[in-house]
Amino acid sequence: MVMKEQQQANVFACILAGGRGVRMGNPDTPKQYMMLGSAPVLIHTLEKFCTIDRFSAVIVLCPATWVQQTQDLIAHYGIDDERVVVIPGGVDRNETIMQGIAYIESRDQLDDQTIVVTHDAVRPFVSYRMITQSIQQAETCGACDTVIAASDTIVSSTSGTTIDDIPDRHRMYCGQTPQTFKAQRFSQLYRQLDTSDKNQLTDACKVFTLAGDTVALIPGDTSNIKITYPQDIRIARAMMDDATSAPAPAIASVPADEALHA
Amino acid sequence: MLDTVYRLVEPRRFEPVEVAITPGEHDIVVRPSYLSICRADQRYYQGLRSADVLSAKLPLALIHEGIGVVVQDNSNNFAPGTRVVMIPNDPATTLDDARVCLDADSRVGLHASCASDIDAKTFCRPISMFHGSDCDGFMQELAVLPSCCVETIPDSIDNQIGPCIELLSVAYNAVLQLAGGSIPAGATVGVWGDGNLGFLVALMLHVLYPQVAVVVMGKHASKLASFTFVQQTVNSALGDRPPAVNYAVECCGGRGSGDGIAQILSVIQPFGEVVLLSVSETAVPIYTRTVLAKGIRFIGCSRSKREDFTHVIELLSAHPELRTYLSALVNDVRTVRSVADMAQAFEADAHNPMGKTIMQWNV
Repeated sequence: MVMKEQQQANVFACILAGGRGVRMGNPDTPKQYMMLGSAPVLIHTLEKFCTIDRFSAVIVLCPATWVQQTQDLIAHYGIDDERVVVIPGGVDRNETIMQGIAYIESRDQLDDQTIVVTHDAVRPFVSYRMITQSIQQAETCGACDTVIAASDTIVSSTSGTTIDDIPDRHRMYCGQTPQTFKAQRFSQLYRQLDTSDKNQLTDACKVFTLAGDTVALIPGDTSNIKITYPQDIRIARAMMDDATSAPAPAIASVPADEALHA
Repeated sequence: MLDTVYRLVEPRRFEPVEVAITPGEHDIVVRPSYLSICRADQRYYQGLRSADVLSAKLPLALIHEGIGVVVQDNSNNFAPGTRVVMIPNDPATTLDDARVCLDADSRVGLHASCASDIDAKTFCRPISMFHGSDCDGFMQELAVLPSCCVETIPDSIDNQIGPCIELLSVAYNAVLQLAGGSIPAGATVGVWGDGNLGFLVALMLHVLYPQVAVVVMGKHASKLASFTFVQQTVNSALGDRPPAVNYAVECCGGRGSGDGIAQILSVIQPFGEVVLLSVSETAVPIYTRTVLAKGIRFIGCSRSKREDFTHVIELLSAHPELRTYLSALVNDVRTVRSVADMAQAFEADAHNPMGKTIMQWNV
């Protein structure tokens, strides 16, 4: 009997590189454009995703005002992977993911098996293992989150002044990215939410848990830090080999003679 | 690109560090998949090397025996997804770089014979680099290697024996040193040492020279029992005397090297050849009167070249029984997901008297 080869699902990466305050000279420059060693944070993240053969496209979603500069940086740092595309993101995290899914749909590659791997651009230490394991889990389970066990005790408070509850720490995890799931299912569930529900979402996997869908967990890593605050860049540099974390300009820039090429 | 490298920072302690890697135009990026622990790795891990050596070499990512999957190839020779064995002996950064190196001022210290011979460069310390000793080994998230340092593995060779190709290639290279690569039929070759290396050397002699008698000398009955394919085993611990041999390969290593060489000199025929293949950490006395009287030749050898890997892969493909013997040598396969798993794999391996510990690399 001839076995029919199972067709693999299309897999897309969505690198979430949004953020506010992206204006020329703004001191609050998004951290994904800050230098970490020899390249901006975003470039390190993007290079890791480009090592994964499964991706049909690696979609970088950044502020509309920064699309051209992001393309310049990608070219400047020698990423010539034709799968990389840069498009504007949305007003928040999940709207940005929806923009990515809309792009996939515009390529006629969205079906009920299509998988999207969403990842914070400001987590440059994401590993090859996390990305591939995340895809494998999403293929079998439908949705997958990356977590590490909580090392601090989690305290719950509604008022912000007194404690409601201290959950058992052994059942608590800290969410990281990648978050990976079936794109069409996410889109369907997200569209069903009202504005109030959407405003309460801080992450994509909650869209699935609100609907009662199972979300699998894969282990992240304490090294998979999110560069949120200025001091995080210092921590990130401290994690790097001395030889490769040499001081560099704080903000990525393209040399004048290479910038803004046609 | 950022790459997490798991370096030994001091004996028995691994630490991850992020390294920015920039693959060159001839380089390949490999995701390691199965790695094998060698005695040389254990000497670093357990702190058995001298304090000076440890101080000079550490921090260092260990492991030079491994296979992986190509994830990026700037040389356009290997498609992403291709399963490859990683060749740890990098004769120069790339073949092109080697030529550049030869033409540049950096040739200071380069031996004249190395300047025109890429094989000689394999053993030339000024420019060759051995992963896991001179530079980081394969305990990395992603390994960057020049395209000359990977070789495709056929489907017939499974993942668990794949990492053994490196050690087998060393055994193959050693065996070819004897008699100019053509041991005459009817000759007797003695293998001193009943560990992994002795097993693979005996196996290579068995496959390459079916008309040659192979005799293995050891001290452990339980290990010698594994050498089911040789003509004779001799247990020195029981006072058994080795037969006369025409050629010898010394695979004892450590403190056993001296005793092994002494025994070889006592039984080897005049004009015999001896390959020294194992490592002693201290100077070993050699009774030179016998060496001179018999006209013995010693050949030092512990590395292998790309062509050795290629030939070993061909042999493994052509000889299913060779794959079976290798499978028997793999006595522990451990999934490694964390730094703690790495240490546990090394600790477990340290207590194995024989056989290979394989790490399924999943960090």
